[in-house]
Amino acid sequence: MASSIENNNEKLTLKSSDGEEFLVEKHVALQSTLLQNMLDSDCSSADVIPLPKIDARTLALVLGYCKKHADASSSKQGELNSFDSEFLKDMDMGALFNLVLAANFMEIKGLLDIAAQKIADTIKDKPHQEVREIFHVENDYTPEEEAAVREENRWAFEGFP
Amino acid sequence: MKRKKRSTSDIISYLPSNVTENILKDLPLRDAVRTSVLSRKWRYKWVTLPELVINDKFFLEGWDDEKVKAVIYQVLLFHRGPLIKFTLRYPPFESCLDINNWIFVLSTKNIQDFTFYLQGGLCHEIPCHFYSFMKLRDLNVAKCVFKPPPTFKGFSRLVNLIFVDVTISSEMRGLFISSCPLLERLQLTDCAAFDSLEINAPNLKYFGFFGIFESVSLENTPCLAEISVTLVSWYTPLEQPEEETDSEWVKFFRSLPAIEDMHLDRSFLELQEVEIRHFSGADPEMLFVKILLAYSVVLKKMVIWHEHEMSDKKGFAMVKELTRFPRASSDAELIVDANVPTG
Repeated sequence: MASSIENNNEKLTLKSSDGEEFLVEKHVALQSTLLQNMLDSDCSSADVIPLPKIDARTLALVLGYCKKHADASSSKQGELNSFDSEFLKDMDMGALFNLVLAANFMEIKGLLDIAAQKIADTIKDKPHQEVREIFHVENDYTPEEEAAVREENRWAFEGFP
Repeated sequence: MKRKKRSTSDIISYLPSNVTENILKDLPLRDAVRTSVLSRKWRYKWVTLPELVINDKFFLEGWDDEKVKAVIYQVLLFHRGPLIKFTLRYPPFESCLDINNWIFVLSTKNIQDFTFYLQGGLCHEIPCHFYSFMKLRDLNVAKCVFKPPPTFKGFSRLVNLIFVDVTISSEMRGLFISSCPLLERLQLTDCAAFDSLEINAPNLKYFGFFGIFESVSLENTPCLAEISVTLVSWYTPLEQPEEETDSEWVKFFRSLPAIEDMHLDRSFLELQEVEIRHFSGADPEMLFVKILLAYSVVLKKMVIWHEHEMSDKKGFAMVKELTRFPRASSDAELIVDANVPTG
């Protein structure tokens, strides 16, 4: 039944976790290794490919990224780089995590890399107390344990409170 | 399951491990190590980092060599599992015995990308454990001496090799390169000890060298598409009049008995881009350009950086002659300029 995709003007339909359907050109979908493998192995027998872990808002963002990268020629690397940095600008943490998880699930390496880099940039140079606050990480160490961990890696904490 | 302590908005602590690794490897090592104190879940996340990069961002001002070494030991002691990439590139680091201990630890980690830059003092002799880094794809080394044991069979997966001020015994150097069958990029910088080098690398696409060479001959390089040559003379005495000394460039081509052979070698037929620096217009150089243009059928671009301004009559005549050379490739663009690029 994979041929049905080819007959359908090289398009396929993706369905988000909240039930919204997205019609995607095949060359755009191929940015995702997951979809590529599904198409290669003919296992997408259904006309609609469900993506139960990805909501519509995130999937729209992901497909926007894929379309830009699929359509750009390799000579326009500079343009793609500025697209990438604009793409994640001003994105809130919740949306960024949805995106990194979607990119990981759909195996879109370029998107996974830039989203991970953005999260890393948020951690970089900040004292750990601030990192805990930003990411809502609950400190479950006892004060003695925490002191021991700091002592274990003392060199990395020099210059930090 | 007791879950009430877990904050629902804490997503970062529950990411798939490969995503966490991806985030941690984008951090400077100090920042990655500091995540250990966030919570119990984070204590040992950094120890399986796939890449360890020790560069100037790693250190704080005021750390002396002993402190730096202690920290490197500490990091290697904690690290668990395989390591794809290891980089030690810290400007004032000199040869010392600790390096051998680190390489011994690293030899168990299946490293694919190894960068090791030392400076000052003596070249460091690479210990024998290093020759068991069989997964290497990228090797980038400065100020080291390689003495592979007779049993060394080459790095069978090596693709990129950069040597800066590296010495290998004369009997081993050709063998070292020819026993890396997948080698695609080779760059030799200030490797004076690599004179009379014979290169046998069937997959070589790029060959760059910077420094002084007696001769280089390309024995078996059918895929070579890009060559970058910068020859520098450190030793020309200043008082000698310019006209009487051949530039190192000219010496290079004089010392290449294979010029006649080179154009027969299929490797040159595959050249697409050529950049020639410090061109003086001397006869052997003109001949070399003529040969390259006449035989490189897929040449797209040749850039010649002349060492002086060419506004005089002589310069004009030279450019005229260059542009008249027949070109085997109809697409070949020839650019002659006097603005020698730096670096």
